[in-house]
Amino acid sequence: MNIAVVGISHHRAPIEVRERFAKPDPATLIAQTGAREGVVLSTCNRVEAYLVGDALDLAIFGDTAYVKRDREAVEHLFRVAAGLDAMVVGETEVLGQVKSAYQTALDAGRTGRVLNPLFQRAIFVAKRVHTETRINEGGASVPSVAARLAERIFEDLARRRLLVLGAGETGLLTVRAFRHRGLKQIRILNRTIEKAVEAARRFSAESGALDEVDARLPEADIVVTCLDLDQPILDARRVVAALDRRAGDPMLIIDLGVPRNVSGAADESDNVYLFDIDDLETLVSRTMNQREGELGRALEIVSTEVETYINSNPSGEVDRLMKALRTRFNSLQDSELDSLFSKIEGLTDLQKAQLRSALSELWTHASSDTPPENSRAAVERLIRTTLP
Amino acid sequence: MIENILLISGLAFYALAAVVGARPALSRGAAAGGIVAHVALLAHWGAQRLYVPGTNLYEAFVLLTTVLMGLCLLVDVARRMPILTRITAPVALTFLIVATVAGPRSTPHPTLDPRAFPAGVHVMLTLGSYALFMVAFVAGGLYIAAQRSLKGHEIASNLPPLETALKLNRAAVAIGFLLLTAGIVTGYLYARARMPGPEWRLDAKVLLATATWTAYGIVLLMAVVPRLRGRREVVASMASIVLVMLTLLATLGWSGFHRFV
Repeated sequence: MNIAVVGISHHRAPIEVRERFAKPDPATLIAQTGAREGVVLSTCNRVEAYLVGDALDLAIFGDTAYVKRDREAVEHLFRVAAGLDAMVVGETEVLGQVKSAYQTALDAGRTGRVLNPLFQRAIFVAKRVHTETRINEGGASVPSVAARLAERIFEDLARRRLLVLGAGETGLLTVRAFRHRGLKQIRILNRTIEKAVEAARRFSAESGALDEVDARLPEADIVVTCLDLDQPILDARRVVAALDRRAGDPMLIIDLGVPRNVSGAADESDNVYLFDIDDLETLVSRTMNQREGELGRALEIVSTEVETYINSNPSGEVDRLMKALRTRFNSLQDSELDSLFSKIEGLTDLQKAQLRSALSELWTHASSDTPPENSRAAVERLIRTTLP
Repeated sequence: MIENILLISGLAFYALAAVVGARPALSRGAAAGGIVAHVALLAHWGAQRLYVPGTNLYEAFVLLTTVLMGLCLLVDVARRMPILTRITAPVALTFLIVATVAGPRSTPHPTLDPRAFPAGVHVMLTLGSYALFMVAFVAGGLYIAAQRSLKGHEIASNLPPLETALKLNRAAVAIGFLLLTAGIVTGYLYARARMPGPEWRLDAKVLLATATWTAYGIVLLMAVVPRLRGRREVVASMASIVLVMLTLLATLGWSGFHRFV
């Protein structure tokens, strides 16, 4: 097949190395390798070049790079696309990145008869793994679990309002997860108003002081708290009062504070769903266990698909035919030469070997329009000098 | 012959939809097959007998389950809720098996003239409302299950979001209530014109239908009272299904002129 993948990833290359190649120029990178076709995939945790060519220069990423060829390269791409080689097993973001890398290469004319079917198949395999296993279910981090919980309560997060109490980094990571799922109306309240304003600017949100909490609480469908307090800021009375003002509409409260920012009694209301940091971490660990459990099935699908791909892809078929043809030519050539050499006296073993090698090289290049001049000349010279 | 083929193929399709519930596309296809078979059966009866097929237990349950499955499949496809078809298919199957085993099939109602315009409309409206109340019951069950899972700090990804289940429950109750109101009005108009004397007002089915109408009216009111919205409202809507079932049972024995033959 002549496919090779060369790359660096979180498995072996430290971040300092990955940083150097974080934003590669695909055209330059592929030109350096001398490949006929090439796709460059760049994600947070990896930079890889999928290449097709005869004499590839694969030393583009230095010592920590890995190189895989043919079947191994196909299997690697299928695993990467399905998120099975990711830092968080089963993540689906990488599939979008694979699609985008392939599209970029396709638009630039850097893909052909080998990489087009390969990448299309990889995308299909990834979708199959996601559909037939539960490898991508659940949230794999506290922020993503928080956002998933909101999706189990509300139909459309884009229409919901998020209130964040505190401008700490954990809370803001959670805001990012909600933002990623389409939530737009965000308000950040903090004791230090300047920090609230600064955080709000990052997310195009509104900001305010913490003492606005009673006024803002009834407006919020989702509340994230991440304050450093000795006592809970939201007790049951405060939450019930807010719930009454929002006509009983449900409210999701994510309490990321330690000590807790929300009194456990607030959860007793029918329409309040309260999750503290322990609840979220339990859900994350359950998700990871489930994903580990599904990994075997996912790898089985990948393995079957690799087998199917290798046995059915058009370029593989041509390669196999060429190989078979070459073996047949060599065997015919050997028997004919043996018969010829037996009739010619005075040929040294070296001359016989040179003739065999030069003819063999000619057959090897039989598929190209112009056989290498060196081989042709060598054959002619040998025939002139050795045959009577 | 054709009746039996259509009935049995519908039953087989519903059974298949229940069995392959874990594979949504197949389950939806099977449910659609069952609906098509039973719509054809209802059309066949309608053309043959020239009345709305719903005046004996057998016809009524075929009509009821066809509307129920049709509604659930529609919502499933529109809102991606495969669990709805998965849950409803066995329910429909049970109703149909009961009707097949229990009821005579072809005798029209002895007192009700099924060819009279308001009588046919009355049957359609009331059975339509019962189907919607059953949808509300299923949606309510999904809401309670989803809420239990969230309150237990779990994520149940096979259940719809709470908001979706609640909206479906409310919509089914509201539309069912409107249909039942219209059904009661058409029934009243028919009875006033055709029934001698006021005795029909004390008929078991009339009384139970009035109680059902009142119960679902209260459920609708609960949806606008902040402290009763959500779980309590849903539980009330689910409990009211008992009245619907009693109203259906009344047609088997307690009722006078509503009785199925």
